[in-house]
Amino acid sequence: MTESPVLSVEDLTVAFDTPRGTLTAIEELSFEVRTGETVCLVGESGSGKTVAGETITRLIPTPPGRVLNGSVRFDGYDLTAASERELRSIRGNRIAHVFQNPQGALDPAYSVGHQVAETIQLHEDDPRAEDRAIELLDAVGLPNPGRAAGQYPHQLSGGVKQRVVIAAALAADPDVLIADEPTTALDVVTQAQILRLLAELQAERDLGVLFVTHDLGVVAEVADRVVVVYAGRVMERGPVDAVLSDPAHPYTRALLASLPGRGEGMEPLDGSFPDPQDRPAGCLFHPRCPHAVEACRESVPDEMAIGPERTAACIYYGPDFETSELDDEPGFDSSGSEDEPGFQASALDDQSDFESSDPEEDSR
Amino acid sequence: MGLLLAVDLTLRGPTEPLLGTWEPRLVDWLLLLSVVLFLGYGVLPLAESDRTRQRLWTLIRSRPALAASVVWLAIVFGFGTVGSIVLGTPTKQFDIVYQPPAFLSRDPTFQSACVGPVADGMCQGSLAYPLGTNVYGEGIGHLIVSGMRVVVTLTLVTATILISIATLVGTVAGFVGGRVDALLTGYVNVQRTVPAFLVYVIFAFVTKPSLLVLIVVFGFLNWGGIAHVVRSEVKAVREAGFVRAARSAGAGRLHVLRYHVLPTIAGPIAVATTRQVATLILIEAAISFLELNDIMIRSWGEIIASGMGQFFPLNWWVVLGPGLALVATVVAVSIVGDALRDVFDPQGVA
Repeated sequence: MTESPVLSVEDLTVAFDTPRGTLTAIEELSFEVRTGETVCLVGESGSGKTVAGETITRLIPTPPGRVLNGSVRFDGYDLTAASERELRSIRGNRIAHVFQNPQGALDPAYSVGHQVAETIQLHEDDPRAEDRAIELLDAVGLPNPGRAAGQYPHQLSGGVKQRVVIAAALAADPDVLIADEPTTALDVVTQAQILRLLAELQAERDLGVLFVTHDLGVVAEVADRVVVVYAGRVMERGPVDAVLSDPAHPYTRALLASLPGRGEGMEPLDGSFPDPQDRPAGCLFHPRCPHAVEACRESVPDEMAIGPERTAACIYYGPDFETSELDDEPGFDSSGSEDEPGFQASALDDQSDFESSDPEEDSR
Repeated sequence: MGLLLAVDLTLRGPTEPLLGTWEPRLVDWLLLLSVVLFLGYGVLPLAESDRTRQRLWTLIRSRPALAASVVWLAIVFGFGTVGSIVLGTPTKQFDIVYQPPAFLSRDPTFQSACVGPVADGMCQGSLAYPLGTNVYGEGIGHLIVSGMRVVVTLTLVTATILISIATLVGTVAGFVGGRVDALLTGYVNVQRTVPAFLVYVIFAFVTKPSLLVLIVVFGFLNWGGIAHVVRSEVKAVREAGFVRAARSAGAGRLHVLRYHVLPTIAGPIAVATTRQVATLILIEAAISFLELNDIMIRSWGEIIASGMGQFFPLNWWVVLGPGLALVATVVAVSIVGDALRDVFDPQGVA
């Protein structure tokens, strides 16, 4: 896959001004999405992955949000500098979003057919929009699209609603789909169906998909490439098979180790997620890293190439260290979990909102 | 309508009729405008949408009180707009004062002439004045109809003012937020401490008491509560997932406002407005009762007040008819307001 990316995010830094001070949501985040591929942005709650997805088309509220640095390149535009008018013609039409909660994403006041047609009509004046909406409802696998078009959101199940949301997202035939935890609110069976549907539609339409999720199981299923994000920074990136089978960064390793039913079972990640107001100096992960050394505190490690299309932002991959030291597993088995025993299991919990900066708030 | 208004404002002399015998005053123009807005933006969209029509119908069939209220308000609206123009104002006939209602008789204390038959020395009512007459010999039925004109003018024009200002202010405050919100909300809070009733009384003493003054004072002072409702609803809807979804699909602010925010808040606006309007009808009656009104405007309150004179309660029919009409209207407005909330509730009964 050497073709040029359809969407490319470079050094993006986004902060939010709050009464408590400025919170950095993402920092120097870079990634790209190519036509026809799925890139997964993976991270725990508060890692900034949703902010990243929403900043692409500038859906984040500004203020309080601010793009401090970086660019989002799409079809010759830099979306961080595009006018509201340009953004409106790109949103939905070229870059579409699917959000986590299908319950809220549909307006209860309109029939679902009308809402799918709305996306079409926002971008072109097509008298056949309602008919096209029915075709789209058919394409997303609704059994009786003609009848479903006349139904209202509260009459439909969560899975059907998410299909409608996907139909609306694809209505104007976008090039890129940003799917933010699209299956998290759904049960496992429905989740599998929606993932399959997305894969089919992607193949049919040659969509570039940015898939934002916390769920490594979903990642394994849908991703071509993975970008692991921690506290708004990239920890590791690479092709999905390589990253999941041979994680390089201690954070990725810890994430995988914390999954149930893998290797020696669940190894919760100790410590808590960094306070976005008081981010640790140096490597953001060092306070929780079992391999941390003094140098980790001192400077932010660069992303270092560790294989074909693979990087890891860890000092151990630099010139001064031996990677093999990471395999000594100094911390994974020992220290236990004396502090905050209730929290770790929820480190990979459901929420992905940037507001939930405090992981303990998330463990409700 | 615009043409007629232009003619009215420029060419027409002070006592010259505009069309036939119709001599519109400012308050009549306001009524006409409000009726157009009420039909165009209230009734028509409701009737056009299969869904709301169907819901309204379901509700009407399952709630007899609502059915009765809708029928009564339709009567009030019909007679208040077209009927009162056709029937004209009741004529004063001093030779037939205090006729009793049909099929009833009156106390012999009344010495005036009797239109109906006299039986056992008692004057019986006649079908010429089925609800009897008052101290001026005006038919009570006819007076109730002209009272409908007043109540329709009062409620529709005031509601138009209330809804326009409240929706504008509430939407801007809720949608823009920040300093604009703080400023508008602050102003609304201050304005809500000003009692409209008192302001009306002052105006009534300074200028001449009139229906227009009542409408203007209440219309421009009482929108604060509705604006608060609108603001908080807009703030809630603004954060809704479907608003974010619409924006992500390429919708601009105005599109979101027009197609996603306003339909969602229509119900709360309708409910809050009907509450205000029901209260306003009672306040108008109270003002008439306190004789702070324009006595030439024959509102129900005025008719009741004029009936509470030396003969009361022997002339009970003068007070009872308009009183029942007043109560029925206030209750009906409240019941319909409740029903509108259910009709507009997007998640409500299918």
